[in-house]
Amino acid sequence: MEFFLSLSYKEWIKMRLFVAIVLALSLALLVYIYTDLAHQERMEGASLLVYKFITGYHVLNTFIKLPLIASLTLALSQFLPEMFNKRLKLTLHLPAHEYDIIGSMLMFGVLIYAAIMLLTYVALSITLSSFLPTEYVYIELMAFLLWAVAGLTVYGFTSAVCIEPTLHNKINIALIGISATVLSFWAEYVRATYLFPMTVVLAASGLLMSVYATSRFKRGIM
Amino acid sequence: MNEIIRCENITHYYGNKLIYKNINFDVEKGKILGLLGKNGTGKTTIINILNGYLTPTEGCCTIFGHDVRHQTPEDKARIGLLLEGHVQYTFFNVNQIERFYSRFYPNWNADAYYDLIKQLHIGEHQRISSMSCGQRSQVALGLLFAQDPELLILDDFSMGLDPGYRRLFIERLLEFVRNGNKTVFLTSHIIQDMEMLIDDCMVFDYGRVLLHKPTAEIMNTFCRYTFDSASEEIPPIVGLWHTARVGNQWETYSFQGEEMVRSLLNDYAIKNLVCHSHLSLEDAFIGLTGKY
Repeated sequence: MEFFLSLSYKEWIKMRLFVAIVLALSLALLVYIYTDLAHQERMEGASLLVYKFITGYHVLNTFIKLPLIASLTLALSQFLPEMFNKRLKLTLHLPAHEYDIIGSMLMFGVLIYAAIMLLTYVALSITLSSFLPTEYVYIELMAFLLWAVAGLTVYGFTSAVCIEPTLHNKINIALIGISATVLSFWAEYVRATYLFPMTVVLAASGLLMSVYATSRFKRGIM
Repeated sequence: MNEIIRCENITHYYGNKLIYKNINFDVEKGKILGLLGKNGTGKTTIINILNGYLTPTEGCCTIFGHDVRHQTPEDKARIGLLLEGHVQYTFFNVNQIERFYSRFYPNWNADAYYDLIKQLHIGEHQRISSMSCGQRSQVALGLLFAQDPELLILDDFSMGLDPGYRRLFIERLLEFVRNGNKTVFLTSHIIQDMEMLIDDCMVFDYGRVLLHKPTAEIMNTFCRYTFDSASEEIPPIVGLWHTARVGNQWETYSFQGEEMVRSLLNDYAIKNLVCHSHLSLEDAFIGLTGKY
């Protein structure tokens, strides 16, 4: 735990500006959702707004971009500086086992991502509750949560592409990652909730791919 | 255990290209070993092997008696690493980087770091990314001093430094190493810097270790000879290095005395043999490896 906290200091300094940018984006989307719903309610009335939801309207479809952009931004802000001048060598030289080091870095990234998604989730639930009945708030929030998990696939595979030492494998991982991302977001976009376990497996695969890429980097594979 | 570093039968290929074949060397405790070699002879490769960032095709290196491919956290804490170009985390400022590293090392000596930083006249909140290459080198050196490692591995420490900073780096490093009985393995492109720093010198040629001797022995016994000869060509002779015509004269290098060199060149009707002793390390390096 002490090692994780010590390493987190570096990760935080490195990523904090980008965390702020993602939070600002999340806030902007929330403001957009709020003003859109407020406008529709004012123009069409509350009952017609609820009726639109009954007939399949999903106010949150704009929000599908947030987990995608957030996870991509966080992974790039965390691992691109490590690969510049091969600084990852310095990190892996810290007195700990390499799997503890990369595991702690990934855990920090996942926790930051989860914190941003949680804050957004809470703010969304407050926003939607002021316009919609509880049942529809629940449906929309479930969709958002599933997208958030799908975002972890992007985080894992983007990190792996950054760390992987060979161009050939970078391309392979990127292609696998793009396929996994499309599959995850498609499954959640069409609300195929029965495919949620697949999304979790794909997200875990992305994170494991980062660990695998680190092991290849450490062995100096060229 | 007197050998801090031991490399045995190291063979390495990049694809089909041979870098080394069966090289062996040790670095004894308290010694400063300088690794010299032309570009592409594998200096950085050996540093990467020593740090466990490259697995050699064959052979094994140990540091503190442990295989470098499986370094323990305790061993890593005992090794100070300077990457080529004084690479550090440039997103930190002067204080932040000290605070970050201090949490990992049990013998951390913050005073050693800040004593060095004070002399640079830079603010505590200045980001490393906004520093000159020389200032960054001092930050990297200060962090190594604060870590207080038993072994320092420095890859091309003089890269990008002007003469003033190079001298500063060497003086401070020497003081630190001599006071603490540290062991150092280093490479540099600027050989004149090595002259005042290293105890032992190892010269890499393409695929092999050309020479591994105490620096003083090389500088005291290795000589450049010039002579006249009517011969069109002098083939390689064991005991003479890089015999070549330079202008109207011939030159050769040797660890042998004047009489022995004269007898080795007996078949080539040489005249006016002159020994130019007290070579600089750079001259000796050129004599050993050739100009091309």
